[in-house]
Amino acid sequence: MPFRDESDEALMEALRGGSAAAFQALYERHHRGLFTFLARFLGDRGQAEELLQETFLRVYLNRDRYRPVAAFRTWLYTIARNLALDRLRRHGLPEAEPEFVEAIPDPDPGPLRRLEARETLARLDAALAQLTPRQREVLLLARYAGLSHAEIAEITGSSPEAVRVTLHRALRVLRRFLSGP
Amino acid sequence: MKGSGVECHEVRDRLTEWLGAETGPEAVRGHLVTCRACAEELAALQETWGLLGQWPGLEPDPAIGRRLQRKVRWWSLRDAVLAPEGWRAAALAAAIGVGLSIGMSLLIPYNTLVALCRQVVADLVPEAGAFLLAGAAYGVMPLALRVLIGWRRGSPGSWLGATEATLLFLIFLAPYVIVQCREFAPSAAASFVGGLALGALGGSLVASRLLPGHGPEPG
Repeated sequence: MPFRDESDEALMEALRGGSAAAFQALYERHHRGLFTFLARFLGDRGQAEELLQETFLRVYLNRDRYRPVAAFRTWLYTIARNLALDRLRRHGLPEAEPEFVEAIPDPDPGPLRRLEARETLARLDAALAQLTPRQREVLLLARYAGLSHAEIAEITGSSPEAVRVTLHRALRVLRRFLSGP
Repeated sequence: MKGSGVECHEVRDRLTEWLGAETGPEAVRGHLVTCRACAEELAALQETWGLLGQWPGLEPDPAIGRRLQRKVRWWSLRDAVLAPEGWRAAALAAAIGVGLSIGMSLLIPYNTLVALCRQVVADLVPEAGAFLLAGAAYGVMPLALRVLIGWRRGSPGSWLGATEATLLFLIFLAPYVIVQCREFAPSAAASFVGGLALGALGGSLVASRLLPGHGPEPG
């Protein structure tokens, strides 16, 4: 695949020059992490898919505004997060999707283990719903997007210290919920 | 509690720096050796963090990627066609190509080249073939000019530039060709102009593919 070894910032430079192949490379590299973040944050696959498209279209349309001084990943997640927050403000949190957990493939073939794993995932879904949007976004960005505290602070417009505290609180809420009856 | 010179509340605010990492800040590490409560808090955080790792990543509908790609390809082409700098380079290349083509026709008039071509292809193709070949010989003049200009400026997508330059080349050269072909029969003139267009477009496209890094983008 062309551009496989290029940095995100080099791909953005190529995209600014009109390269559709650079766009494809950026999509291939980031769509899974971004979709996981959006789907877990919104709790709705359909809305997450819509916002995934919208985010990448904005990357293309705003490619001339991107400055390599900021990491591309931070810029990408800032766009996605703003869209998601805007969606939440307008429509509120969607109803939880029961098939959301069912759709997750399970590598373990044993029926008992499969049931256990499915229950764990269902409990994780429910636990995440206990968090405030702020705690949820920080947790998801840290755990699934693999972003540093400094990057999350940049995306959410706060400080790394505030991110640390929010993440700690989010994990305590989850722990309390998951260890409950 | 105070251990290694730091308070528990200071340490707890920094425990998340440990998550997903082999080790954490030096001051916190020292405190954890002596403070059981903070060590247990870290272990609990790590356990929850690990549990979250069981949640697999999600994959969107593959059609989304394909749809996005189609849309961006189209927008990218549209933007490239509308970009004025591309047309400026194409106009410059076309003007140089027209100058060379007219200069060549003054040295070797169209009639002379047609006669030469007729000798070469007389036994192989019908009469119109000679006009076609002669036209192509003139048309190929701006070969690579647009591409070379694009190459010097580092602009991608030269196949588009080659097409733009060829189009302008043919428009600029048309009046001169019409005057020069007035003595040809209509079918011969049509063959000559067709050869000219084919030579110009084919030459530019071939050159745009041959120059490294400036062929059409891979899909």
